Amino acid sequence: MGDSNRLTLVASDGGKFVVDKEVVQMSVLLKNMIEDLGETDESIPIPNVTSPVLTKVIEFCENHRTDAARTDGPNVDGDDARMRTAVVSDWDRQFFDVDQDLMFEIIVAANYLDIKSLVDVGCKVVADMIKGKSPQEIRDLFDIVNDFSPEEEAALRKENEWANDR
Amino acid sequence: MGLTTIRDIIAELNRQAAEHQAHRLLLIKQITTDPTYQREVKRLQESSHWNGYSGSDSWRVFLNIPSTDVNSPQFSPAVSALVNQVHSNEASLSCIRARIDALSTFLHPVLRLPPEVLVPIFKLGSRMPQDDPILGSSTGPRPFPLVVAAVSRQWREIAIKTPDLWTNITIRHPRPYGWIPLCLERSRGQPIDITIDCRCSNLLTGPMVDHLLSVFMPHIHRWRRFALTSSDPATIHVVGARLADAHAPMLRHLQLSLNGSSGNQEVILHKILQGGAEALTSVRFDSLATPWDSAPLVNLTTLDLRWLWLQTRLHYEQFRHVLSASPNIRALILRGTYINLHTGRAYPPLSIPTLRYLEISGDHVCRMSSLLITPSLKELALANLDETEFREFVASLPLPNADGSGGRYPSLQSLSLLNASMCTPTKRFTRALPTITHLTVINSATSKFLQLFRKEHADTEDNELSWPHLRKLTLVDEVDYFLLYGVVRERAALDAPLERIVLNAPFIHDESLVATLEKFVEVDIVKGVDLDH
Repeated sequence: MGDSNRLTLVASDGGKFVVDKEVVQMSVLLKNMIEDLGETDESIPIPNVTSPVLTKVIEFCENHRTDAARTDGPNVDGDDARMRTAVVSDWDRQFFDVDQDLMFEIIVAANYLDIKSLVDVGCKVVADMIKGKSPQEIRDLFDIVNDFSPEEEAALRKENEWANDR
Repeated sequence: MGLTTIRDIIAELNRQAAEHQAHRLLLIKQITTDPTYQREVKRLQESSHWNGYSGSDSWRVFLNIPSTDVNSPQFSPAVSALVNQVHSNEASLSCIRARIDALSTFLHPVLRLPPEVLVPIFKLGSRMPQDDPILGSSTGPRPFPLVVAAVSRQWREIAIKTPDLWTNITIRHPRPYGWIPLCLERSRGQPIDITIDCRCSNLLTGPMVDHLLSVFMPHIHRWRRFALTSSDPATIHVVGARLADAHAPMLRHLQLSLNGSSGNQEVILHKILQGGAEALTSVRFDSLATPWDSAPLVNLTTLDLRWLWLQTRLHYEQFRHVLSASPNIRALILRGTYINLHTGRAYPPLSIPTLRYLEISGDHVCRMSSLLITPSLKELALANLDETEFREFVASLPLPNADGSGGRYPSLQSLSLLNASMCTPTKRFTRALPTITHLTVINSATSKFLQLFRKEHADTEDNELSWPHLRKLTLVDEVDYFLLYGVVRERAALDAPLERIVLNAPFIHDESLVATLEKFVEVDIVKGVDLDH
């Protein structure tokens, strides 16, 4: 029998990660799965997450394993409030100081695994990157194609004539 | 609904993969709990030939033993059927994974973000403070919702379908106006938060604000937050007139601030929201008075009163009425000398058993602290104290008993000092507030506090460290790093370690010094500290 406090996660490319159950349970998806299965030695495949991404996700969860849910305080209710009050520490910023591909893969994986604190921090980091930029600067930053038709562009221009309105 | 984009197809495949994965694990659980399987496994494990097989994939090994083997296991047909289902499931999973991989190559990473992730990113961006506009400019920065709605079709579709994105309307410039009706339309009946800050532009005058309110008033039934800041009393009166008899059933937070003005101006509004504001729990008034014992100052949980001058200060009886009108109050901020307490006159104490946060300031810190009985207080902020007031405050604090009971604030965890640079903290101060776990010092004698935490200043009688429970320090001023390092290292050695230090970025002159601190404690660097919080 293996260590009952640890589980093996298998990434989509076959990479195996032995992780503390406490860490794994930061993922609501995996927590529910473990509860449904009960005690098991079975390794858990994560079919949508590659090894490099899973490595980062586990790194985040291990670093935040002792965090209490920071949801107390005034005017805090629901996911929006939790997200607004999520703290992005220096460690978190360094954690997301990776190339854009990996950054977005981490956020997608966190969303799939339902790791709320990682989704919150990732969303805040991306929102911070967008803030203060023009639409064209955002397109340049994320390599997004401007796919508006000429008619749509004209409608947008009208909508954005905010500086000249009365 | 049809699947129209690659991203939608990938999201659907991911959902199917998750379902397959969960089903697979349940099938395996059924196999491994089947009595015939367990009996055969036990028999095989007892034979020396199969002793080595255990662990997560053992079921597969046992099932794959060739039937020609003399020891071949005899599983029930039910187990065999389950095994076939697992194989089929794994084949499907593999197929789905291959399709996801193939489709993902067509998408740029940002396009892989599903709507449920883009929505919170947009919402967070719309709530982040924007850069200050240029003073005197007639236009502000382009509103965030308009920006994201102009990036691409996908982003626009998500932005327009997200009413919450359009609910935070902040106006700090006379222009743009055009986007306000757009927000009111696209927020589609959701509660809205309105902030009007006239300090950034002289062009945002009383008549302009009145015009803005004429646009907002038809939606007052869905106001959730309304905040107005102006240095012009006339503008506050304009808003007061609009709100006098209004009914705002969803309003939770109201702020009316007259500040940044020259001279000690104050405004009296004889009535506000007399039509009712039954959801209102939080009020902040700066240099503004209104009848203290009626709506909207009832049933509050947060009351924030700042800077009243001579005409409008509360008398003790009025203050008592305010408190009794809000029996569930949790946060009370009294900045400036808000209550008239006459020298030499004794006042009966006021009990506020529900209070968790208290901020008091100025010349009345000592008297207010003695007046308010707050046994559940968790956070105390003291602002704008001079040396004499601080000394008297410390002298007024009763010392707890030897067993830790008693004292004025038995539950206090967090203490903040703001603008108290002339004050000298003493051992008596720390002994009177022994339960502190978090200290925040803003423009208030940081070095004197750090000295107090050094071992050589430990109590000579019992050699006890100051604030042995202290775990978090927030230091917003210039810090003597070598002194701070000494404190951090010493407390770690004495088994009273600090766990987190928050420092202010402008005062960090040498990153390597921060790195030395990080060997002992988590260090967070903050920027743009709002001293007015």
